[in-house]
Amino acid sequence: MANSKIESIVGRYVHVELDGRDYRTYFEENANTKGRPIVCLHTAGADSIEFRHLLADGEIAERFRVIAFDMPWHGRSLPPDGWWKEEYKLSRRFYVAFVVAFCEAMGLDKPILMGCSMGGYVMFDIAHDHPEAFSAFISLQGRDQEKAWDGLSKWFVHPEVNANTLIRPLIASLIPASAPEARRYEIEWIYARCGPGVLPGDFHFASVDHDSREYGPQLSRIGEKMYLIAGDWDWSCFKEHTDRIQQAIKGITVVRSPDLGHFPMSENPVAFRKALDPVLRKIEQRSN
Amino acid sequence: MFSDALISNLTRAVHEDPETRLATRHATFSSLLEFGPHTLLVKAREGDMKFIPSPTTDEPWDFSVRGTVEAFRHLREAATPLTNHPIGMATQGLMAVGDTTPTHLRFEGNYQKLYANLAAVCAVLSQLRHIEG
Repeated sequence: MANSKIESIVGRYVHVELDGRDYRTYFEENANTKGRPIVCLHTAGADSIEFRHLLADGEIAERFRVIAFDMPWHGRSLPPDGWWKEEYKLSRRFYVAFVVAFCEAMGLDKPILMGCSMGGYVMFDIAHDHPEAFSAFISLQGRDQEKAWDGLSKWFVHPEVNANTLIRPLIASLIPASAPEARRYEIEWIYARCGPGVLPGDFHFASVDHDSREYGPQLSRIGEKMYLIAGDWDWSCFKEHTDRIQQAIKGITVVRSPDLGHFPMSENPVAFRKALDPVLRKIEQRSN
Repeated sequence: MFSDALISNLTRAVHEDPETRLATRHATFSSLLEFGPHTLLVKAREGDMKFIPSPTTDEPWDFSVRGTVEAFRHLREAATPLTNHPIGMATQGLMAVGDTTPTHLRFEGNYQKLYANLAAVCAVLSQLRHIEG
């Protein structure tokens, strides 16, 4: 096939041990294994495919080793045996511990950590619990607390509601009208593949377990390595939300984008790069 | 507000737009749209969509979509971050830190019916931005 095109993204599995269980965890990375690692955390109910544009970005690959992994129960990381007997509820403790355990299993030394939505929420929890384990924390659409998500949970497991039909308009509502059409629908597709009960389980973390308001001020001591990127089209992350975080965490860098919504890395890769580039430059300058 | 021309164009758009046809193909619900004093019943039976302006009490409905006349105007004008999508227009106030972010729309009634048919409802509402009348 003379015209075939094979992307440089590589997908593999790493075994992550936590709480006596072995989690066979899927991850993808770009071709630059010598670059500075950026570990990417996906949104609730989705998986690492959300970062495919960043993983395929040649300019980024010249400087960074981008790694995106699927949390257990998501994408190609299967839930552990016995999942059929237990309700999936992502806890703060497990989420924080798993991200740290993944990075250790990968042998990464102080990577940059970047996550979106619930991956952006947990950024504040990980920064609080493990401030020295990462060289920078980039929260995309991050919030210090949000109780409202969990109100939707019941309907994603209700026998008279089709979850993968319900999710599409909800996701569409969080994406800018200005984003490329194909990208907008790509995100709807990603979400429509979500496993049974997974989104409500993730909402448990995002809505019930996560509340970083009380230790926001404590994060000020590492404020210079904390970054928050937020798009104006996300009705769950308006300026008033990021203002509250900025007031609590002294030194945090906040970038608001008029072109982004709830899924910056997948809905508009060009606008995302525009918002991300100054953050990455700042991180590199700090290191130098 | 719900003129004959708008009803006619909405009916045509819902039946002709491929995405809306897919989103509504098995939809079964009755919904009252109410903006200020203006009402329109959206009646869906296995994808057969009918629009009845100013319905009487002979027409029961499962859930309502309520907003001001201004909210209806937002649904018809070009999208902005605050008025991009009916769900966002209904949810953003719920997540507001203070009272600075308004709730433009309210979904009320039988939530099981609403969530079972949410894709169809949103597909119909989104057509308001694309039709004349």
